[in-house]
Amino acid sequence: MEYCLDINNLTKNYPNFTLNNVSIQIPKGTIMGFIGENGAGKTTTIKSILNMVNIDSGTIFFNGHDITNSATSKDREEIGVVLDECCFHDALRVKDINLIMKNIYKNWDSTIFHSYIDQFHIPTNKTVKQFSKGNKMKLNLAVALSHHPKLLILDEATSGLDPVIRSQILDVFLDFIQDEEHTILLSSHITTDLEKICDYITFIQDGQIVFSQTKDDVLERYGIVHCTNKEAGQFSPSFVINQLTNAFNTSILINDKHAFLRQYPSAMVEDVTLEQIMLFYSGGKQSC
Amino acid sequence: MLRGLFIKDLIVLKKSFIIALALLIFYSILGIGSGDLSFFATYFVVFFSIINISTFSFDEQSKWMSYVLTTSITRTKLVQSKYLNSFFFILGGMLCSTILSVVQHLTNPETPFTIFSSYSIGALAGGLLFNFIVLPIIFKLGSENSRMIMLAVLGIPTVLVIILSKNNVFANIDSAFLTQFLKYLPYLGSVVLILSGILSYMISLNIMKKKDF
Repeated sequence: MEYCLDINNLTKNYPNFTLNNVSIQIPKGTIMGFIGENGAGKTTTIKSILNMVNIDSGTIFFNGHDITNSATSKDREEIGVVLDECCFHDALRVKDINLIMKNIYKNWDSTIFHSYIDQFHIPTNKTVKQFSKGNKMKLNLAVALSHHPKLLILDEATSGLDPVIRSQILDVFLDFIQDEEHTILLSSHITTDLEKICDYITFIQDGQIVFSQTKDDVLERYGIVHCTNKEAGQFSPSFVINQLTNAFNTSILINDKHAFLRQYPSAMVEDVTLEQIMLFYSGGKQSC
Repeated sequence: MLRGLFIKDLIVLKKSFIIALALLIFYSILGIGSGDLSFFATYFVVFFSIINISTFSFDEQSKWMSYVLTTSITRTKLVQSKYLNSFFFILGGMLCSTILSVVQHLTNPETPFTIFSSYSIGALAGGLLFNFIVLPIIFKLGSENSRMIMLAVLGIPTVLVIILSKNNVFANIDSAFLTQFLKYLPYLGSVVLILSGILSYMISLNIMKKKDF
């Protein structure tokens, strides 16, 4: 399988946090959702890919090129980035941004840029300062898509946007990967969006990768068992990821619901969402 | 690529340039008949020397530096752009200074006309040296945290000159030595400027390569 992004044993140390041996492989032509709590290491991982921070060890390959701590301008031309806030000066207008980016990127395409500006209804007669949050994000996205990137990296790009705009943007992502030569790495807290469009999900917690699998595998394998507090103790710990207990009953996240049902056919197991997986991993009481 | 960064700074500094143009016109009018525009000629070089520093502040407000490093701009190119900007902006100051000299000469033909007065050349050297000292500090600490240091870089030499003048240090210097010194000052000054520019650039590059954004 050909990987667009191949990260191996990425480690970055900070005084109070360590990104520890992170390994992620993103096949070409796919969308990978990147989830985790605040402070889990998503942005640090993305910054490491983009050489915004100097990593301590590990390797990062982009389309077969080693970009660890040293991506060339040519590699960067092929990566489009949308960060969680608009980084264009308040005084700039759309035409100014077009002029600036035209002189930064060799592959800048003004026609595509203006088509996205029209498609997203971004005002051309206002400065960035006068834009709404949604328009700023759409502007970021229009810029990221307008230099023919092969990889699109988005760090919380859709946070704070209304459902209408998010739906528009998700459609753009799906169009982007149609030819199977383009890839997206999408970090987001809005797990419903990820469930709609992602092929792969990577979950990071406390600087370590918990899992990195196809979305269908994740949603198919994991399940939630609802039972009484007394019944909870009867299940084999090998199935249990974590459990949430209240005064009356217990909910348990299990790692293989088909095998679990074979062993406990009378158990009530329901399908799980990505959000629930995150909640259980971060908030549950450890099982005995 | 560097052109894109320069264009960005020009657009962002548009208001500052409009102010500079208004001042140029104002001081030209003010200077007509006053006979001496040397202060104003120097002023423009100093103004444009400092204007490059304000681009850091604008960049920090919008977190532009973090973003631009995700584009095809490398850290080396980012550092190069700031040094080239300082050079071009100071040249812009020299241009304003020249315009003032032309105005002065046209309104008062008896005054000698020089394209670059000794004041403006001195200001050029001072402006470049100021940028060479301050740019690595700003790359390291950011524009907000560097303010006090910038004030010190500007203030300490000024205070020193005032103290030395008041104590007649300059008056006691041997005139023959002074003549010789002034004769070789342009050559010595050029060497000092070039070496300090190279050193400043290498330090800035080293800082930027190690910095995490």
